[in-house]
Amino acid sequence: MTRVSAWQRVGNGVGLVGVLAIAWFIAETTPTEEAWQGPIVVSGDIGETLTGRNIEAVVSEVRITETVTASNGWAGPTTGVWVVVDASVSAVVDDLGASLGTADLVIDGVTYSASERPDDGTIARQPLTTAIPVSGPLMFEIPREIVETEASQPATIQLAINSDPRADSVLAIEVDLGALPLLPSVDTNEPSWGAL
Amino acid sequence: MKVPTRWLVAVLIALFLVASAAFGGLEDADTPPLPQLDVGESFTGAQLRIAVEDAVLIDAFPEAFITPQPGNRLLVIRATVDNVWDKPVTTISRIGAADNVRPRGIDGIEDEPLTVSVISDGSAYPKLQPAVPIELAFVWEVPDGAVSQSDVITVDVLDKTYAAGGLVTYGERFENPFVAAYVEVPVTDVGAGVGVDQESETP
Repeated sequence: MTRVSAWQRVGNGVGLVGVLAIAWFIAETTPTEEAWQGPIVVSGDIGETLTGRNIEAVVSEVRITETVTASNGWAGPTTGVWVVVDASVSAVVDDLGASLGTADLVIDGVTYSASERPDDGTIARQPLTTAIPVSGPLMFEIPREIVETEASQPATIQLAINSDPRADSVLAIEVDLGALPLLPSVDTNEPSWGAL
Repeated sequence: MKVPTRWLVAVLIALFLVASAAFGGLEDADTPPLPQLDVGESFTGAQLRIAVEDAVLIDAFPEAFITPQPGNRLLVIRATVDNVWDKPVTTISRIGAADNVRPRGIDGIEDEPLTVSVISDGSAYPKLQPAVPIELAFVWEVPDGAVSQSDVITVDVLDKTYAAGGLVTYGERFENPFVAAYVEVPVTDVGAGVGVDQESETP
């Protein structure tokens, strides 16, 4: 057996700790799949024109209502309340296959998607055209408890060109639902071409 | 005296088996019985809370463009479905809530429903929003006579398991539906239907 000096043992120990520290650093700082494939967020407020890679949008108004009647006569009831978002959305560089595939409302980590129940009374999933915005309503069904509190209720409207917004722009519009009154009813405009 | 380790292990295993005999030994464990729900009672799964409300036989839903083949009828299971997850849930077959309700042992019902619709406005395959319960109609086409008035049918309520990520898949989802509870529901035959509008009744 070869003799190992005390100093050599200390050196081995320090080396091991060093390797472990480097491994820990790499493991902790490696971007997760969600991080490197995640959407590129463009944030803004109501009334502001937000531009992403291939989506441009302006949210003009947000209302909360008990009932909503769409331009096509649809007036589906909900056990919650409706959040009606009026927006103008267009493609920027390419309208081939472009549609408003993601229209979400995120409240406190919970995602609500724009209802497709109003069919052609909403701009959810509508095809988008380069530079000619499609304007109209998005209807979100949310639980009543969210709007019954007096406290401020920050929410984010997320708009993106595909239903899978990985590695592409997501427009994020901040809105405080707590500051909005609960209206008895809202009639929405017909989705149309051109800005609101 | 030296006891070989091998003996020690054998003795330990023997002791374990003898002790386990008190709890049934190597017998197969009883599978817990499937919970039975009352009509209207809800079952809360990992993703959805489902309460089967009733079962109806109807000729057709012409207003929703759902007309069965001649000689067939529609079996409609009405259920209140609440999304208890934090993301919208589709109702499409094989990925969504259409998988979560299945009448059991009825001729002509193989698997997925013909459609899943919102009762209040008739829109097909809605997305279920978190914590916003909604009444859905799960519609199957059945041969005439497969079910009739006052038959009591068994409706299975299924649950799914959560999965995320994967080699070629992405994101969070619920998969592998399994029967989690069942309901015994009496069937009501409404003939041409109670909600038939005036137009479709005019010849």
